[in-house]
Amino acid sequence: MAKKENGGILPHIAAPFLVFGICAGILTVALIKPYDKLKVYANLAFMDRVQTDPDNPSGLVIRDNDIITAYSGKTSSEGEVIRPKFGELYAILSSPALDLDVPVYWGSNDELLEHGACQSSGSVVVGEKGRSVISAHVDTFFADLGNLKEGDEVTVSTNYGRFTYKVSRLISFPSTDRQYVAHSDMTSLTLYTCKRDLFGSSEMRIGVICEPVKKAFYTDAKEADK
Amino acid sequence: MKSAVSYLFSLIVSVMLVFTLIGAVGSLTANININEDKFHTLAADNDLSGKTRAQLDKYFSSRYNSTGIPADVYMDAIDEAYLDRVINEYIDSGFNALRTGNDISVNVSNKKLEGSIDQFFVESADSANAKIDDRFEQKLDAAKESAYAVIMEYCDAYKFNSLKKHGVLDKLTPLFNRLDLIVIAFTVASALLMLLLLVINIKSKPVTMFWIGVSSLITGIIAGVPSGFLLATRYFERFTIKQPQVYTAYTSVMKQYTNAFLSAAICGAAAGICFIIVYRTVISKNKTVAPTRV
Repeated sequence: MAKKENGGILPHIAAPFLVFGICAGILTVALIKPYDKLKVYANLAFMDRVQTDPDNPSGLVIRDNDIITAYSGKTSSEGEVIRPKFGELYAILSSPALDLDVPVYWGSNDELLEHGACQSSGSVVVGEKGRSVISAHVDTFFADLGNLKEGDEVTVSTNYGRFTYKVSRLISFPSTDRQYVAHSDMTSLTLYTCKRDLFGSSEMRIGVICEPVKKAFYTDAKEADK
Repeated sequence: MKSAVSYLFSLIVSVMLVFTLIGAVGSLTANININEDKFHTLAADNDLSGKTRAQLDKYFSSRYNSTGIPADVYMDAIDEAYLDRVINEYIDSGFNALRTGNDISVNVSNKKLEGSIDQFFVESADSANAKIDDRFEQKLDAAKESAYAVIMEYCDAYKFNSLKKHGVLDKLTPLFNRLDLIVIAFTVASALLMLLLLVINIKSKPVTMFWIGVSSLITGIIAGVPSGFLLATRYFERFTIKQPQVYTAYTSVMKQYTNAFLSAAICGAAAGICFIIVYRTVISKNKTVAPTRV
């Protein structure tokens, strides 16, 4: 009789623990990605933009230009680039695989990396022949860089044109290796960021090499001015 | 054997019920607490305009050495009523952007401020016998633009501009616009799962109460323990947000949401315990109802 009663009560006692264990396990696994995403959004929201202003004693002048992202005028495959100044927002990088529209500043330092992605001033301006190199922090603007796959489209919009690239290679390299960021005569776009590391900053970099697919220089000045 | 099968199915459905209940509680709490009215109330209760004014004073004072414009020129024209208006406009415009995807647009114009800057520039020019020419006008306009840019930056306590600029608001728009639907979906799903539990335990109906009670209790624990931990350890106070008004804005919203979520979780857990107690009472009174056996 006692045995029979135990057979009925024990499963009832075990039930809340089983339900709790299963739910807690599923939730822990399911919340890892949203937590990372929320952290990126929080990092972006809390950036202190007033800290860097034209009169900042550090001497860095950050210019947040408005970039044309919806141009409907005529375009040409050949045209003139507008060379940006150090600290100038000169492009918006976007891709369906990236979660955000990433502002791209010309030049690279810690302060600019707080504002967006940075293009090395040693690389060529997007639209010119040669290699353009853009990097950003993995915990903010390039949090989703690892989502890019071969064949994905990447677009760089500037105030002089819109340039479309296709991801041709995924890369991983030590921070001391310059092969993907050094000058090259071949036109390409290198996007890279730090590899995520649980134990602090990583010495490895991950990224993509993109090949140009389409150049569209803006020729309609009125449309570009809008 | 039949009992084992019904136990297993009840367990699976209960796990699903926990998630739908968490979804219902979370989305309902968000629906009630994340809107313009609540944000306006929080901004007023936490004196965001006062904190913003203090920060603006600090900023303009620190800029005196580089601009030569005393902080009083700005601060005499920037009162808390004006800052309240701008902060509230940011909240309204931010939520409008969240709903419609429109750009954030806020009217920060302040005639008194412009007059104060005009007066300072004219007096400075007079005392230095400087000409009032195009260059003077350009500098004057730049000073006004710069003042407005700083005011806009400081009054956007919830950082709607940053979130919009980086596409975060646009990503949240579909979710935010469907919040009512999400609440209904989770509630209906929870009701259906409860019905399913009743069907599974149709031969001993009171057992359904036990499983619903277990699900409610676990929902309460899973939702309540992390919320309680966040509040008990004052987790939000560890945030290192540089601007006090932004810090206050964010932490007050988080605290309000966590408090509401914790209250709902405690209610859920209490309801769960009640269900289990009622179930035990029913089966002990009615011996014909046997507990599920494996």
